[in-house]
Amino acid sequence: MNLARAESVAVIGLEGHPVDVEVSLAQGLPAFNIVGLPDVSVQEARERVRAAIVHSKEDWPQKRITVNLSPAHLRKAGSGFDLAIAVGIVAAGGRSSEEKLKPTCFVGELSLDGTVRRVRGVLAAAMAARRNRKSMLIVPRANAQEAALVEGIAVLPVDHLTDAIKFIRNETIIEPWTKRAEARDAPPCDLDLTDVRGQGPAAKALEIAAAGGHNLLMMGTPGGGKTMLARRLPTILPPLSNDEALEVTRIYSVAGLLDEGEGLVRTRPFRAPHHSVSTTGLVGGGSGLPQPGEVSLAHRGALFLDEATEFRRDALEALRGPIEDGAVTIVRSKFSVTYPARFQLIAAANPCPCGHAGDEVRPCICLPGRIANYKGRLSGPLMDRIDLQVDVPRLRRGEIFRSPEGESSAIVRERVLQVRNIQRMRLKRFGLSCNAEITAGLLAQTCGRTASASRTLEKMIEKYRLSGRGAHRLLRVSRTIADLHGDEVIDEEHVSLAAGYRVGAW
Amino acid sequence: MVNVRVVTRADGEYPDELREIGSPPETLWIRGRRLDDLGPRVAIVGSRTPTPYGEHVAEDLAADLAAFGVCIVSGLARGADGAAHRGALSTDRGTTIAVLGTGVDVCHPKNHRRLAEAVAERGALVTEFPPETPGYPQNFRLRNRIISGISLAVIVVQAGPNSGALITVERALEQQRDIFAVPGNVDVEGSAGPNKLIKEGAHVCTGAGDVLEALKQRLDRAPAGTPPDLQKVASLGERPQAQQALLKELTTTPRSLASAALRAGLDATEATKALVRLELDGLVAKAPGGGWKRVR
Repeated sequence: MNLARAESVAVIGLEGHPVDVEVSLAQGLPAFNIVGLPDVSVQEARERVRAAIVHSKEDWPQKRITVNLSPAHLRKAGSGFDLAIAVGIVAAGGRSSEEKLKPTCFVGELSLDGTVRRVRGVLAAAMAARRNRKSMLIVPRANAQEAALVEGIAVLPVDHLTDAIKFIRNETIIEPWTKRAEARDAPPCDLDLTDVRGQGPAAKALEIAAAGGHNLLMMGTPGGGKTMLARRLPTILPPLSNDEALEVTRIYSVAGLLDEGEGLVRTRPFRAPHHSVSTTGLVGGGSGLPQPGEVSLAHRGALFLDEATEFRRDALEALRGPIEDGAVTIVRSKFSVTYPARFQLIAAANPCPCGHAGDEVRPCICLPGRIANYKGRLSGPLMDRIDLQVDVPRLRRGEIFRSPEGESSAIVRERVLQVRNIQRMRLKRFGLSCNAEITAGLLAQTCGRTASASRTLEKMIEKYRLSGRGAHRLLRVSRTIADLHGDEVIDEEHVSLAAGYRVGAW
Repeated sequence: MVNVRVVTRADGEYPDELREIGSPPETLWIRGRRLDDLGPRVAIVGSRTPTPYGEHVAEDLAADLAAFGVCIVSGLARGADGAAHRGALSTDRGTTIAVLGTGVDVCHPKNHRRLAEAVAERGALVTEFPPETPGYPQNFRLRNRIISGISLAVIVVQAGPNSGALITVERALEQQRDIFAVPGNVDVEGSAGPNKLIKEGAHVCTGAGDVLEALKQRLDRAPAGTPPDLQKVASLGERPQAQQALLKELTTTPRSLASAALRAGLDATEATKALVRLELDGLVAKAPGGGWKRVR
């Protein structure tokens, strides 16, 4: 037999596409070529595959070897085809069992000694393999846990190329991976909201943001505790649902960020990119196959921009699309990739370049022009997408320790969970999940309010010169606050509290 | 160049007070109204980087004095100077003079161009330097003698130990002008200047009344009515407990919500709600840099 076929998967974006690896051994001068739109990393597979086969004590066929990756129009990148190519060559050169080869999909990178190494995107590959009606999937052992998240396909972990070769020759049986990752809710975390003292208003704002999924801007002098607060957001967010967890895991799998042997990602992502991040790093892209950016890695979680005004202008502006659409589509000439990016934005900034504007003791030394310029870095369209703003001042000596301890994360989280449930029930029929997503048209139906609340709101619109959009933001936040109080109808006190967190004055 | 005139010592418009000083300028370049139309002059000087307190005191003091017919003299600099000019202009008929360290057609700092235009319209821009003179650092020190020279008194609002405002005070002492200092918190750098002046015998200024009282002999007409004092006695009225407690803690210097709530013994939610209600009634306001302050 001089022709063999093994199947593998090309992962582009979050989607796996089945790829036929055809191997032909022909008479002629010994050669080894890979065709079918392989990129450099796939071309390099030739050296790895040859060394791995030789070190697995197999004969290297002294023939003209042609490997075709089909369909030919699909771009293939990465090292995940190594295993399929090696298996194909061995099968083409000798005996193999067609009933093992045919229903099986191979994913894995080879090292020179034949060890099978973990690769990215195995979860997406497993989904594609099942969709393509394969019944078995051979994967590196380190990826087995993640592949096993897909039901309806047997995941066969291998350590070495010889395992796979024996398998296709019917010389061995590989036990399918059945260990389930134990579901952990709220992983142990040494951060807690009680650590934050004296920042009651900011802690409350964080709770409201977590409860309603609102984007939050924290303003304050350096050293006030903005970062400290933001890092504690994950401790009060609800756990990921199963569907959400699968979405997140798929992104992390493609980005190569899953820990070895990690199954489902259970904790809400919290991403805090440094302000030097490039636009590509933030929203995704890059040469070759586009990689998910920070916004996608923060999918279903929070994206924290510390020192938000220091981020590059173009990077910040690029956030507008994802915040609005909950997804990023990266278009290339031959294909496009869509990564989900439904995240909650938490931004922190100083009130001016020197950080002391409004300070009681230290005067601000910034030139007026520079302050205007500094504030302008958070553009209007971006600010428009932020519902809540809170000051995080530096407390004076003594005030920190005189203030009572904050509430513990566990108590706050309990309230957040409850409020999220209320929202889900209310918004289910509109296909929404949290108050931050309520569109202008739905406000009337979802934000019923008392007469006194309406009067106060009108007073505020006049006093604060609120735009229509500003008033809508106020209402959405009032909705969340009313929910936190367990009230179905928004009252005057909810609106008053919401106005204390309104965006704008800085 | 519009409406710039040269006034020499021979001219009647040349201020008499300026003739008496040690080194009076030979000529003044003036843009705006006649100096002798503007009323008795008092200088307000201070730090270029005042705290919110310094800024609002300069502004309020200037407004109160201007309302009693005093022409506010300052240097058009950033910070306290600008606040003093703005304060004078904020009243209906207030007048103000900016003494420049540049040519009368040059604006320094640049973002005070609109302020300079307003000063020229309601008062005058005055300088000893010919037009198109750019802002040489030493010239700003030189013009300080004119600020004090054309004024009856000098009020220092906030000045660090090395502030240029203290140079004006030195000139004023040489010229035997009255010195007023607005006291400030001892833990703030900008209070060092005025507090030291008070120790050395300057008049304490807690409002326009102090200045008007001391100068009443030299003012053309006696001030009618009592000028408001900047020192506030809280008028709480019939407000809920939480609002009263917060009002007591707030001054015209912005204070963060966290700090105000702590001092008033309220939790964050109660404090936020109370502040918003007070804000809607116009008693407190959110400050630009964050924090809350009482409204005058």
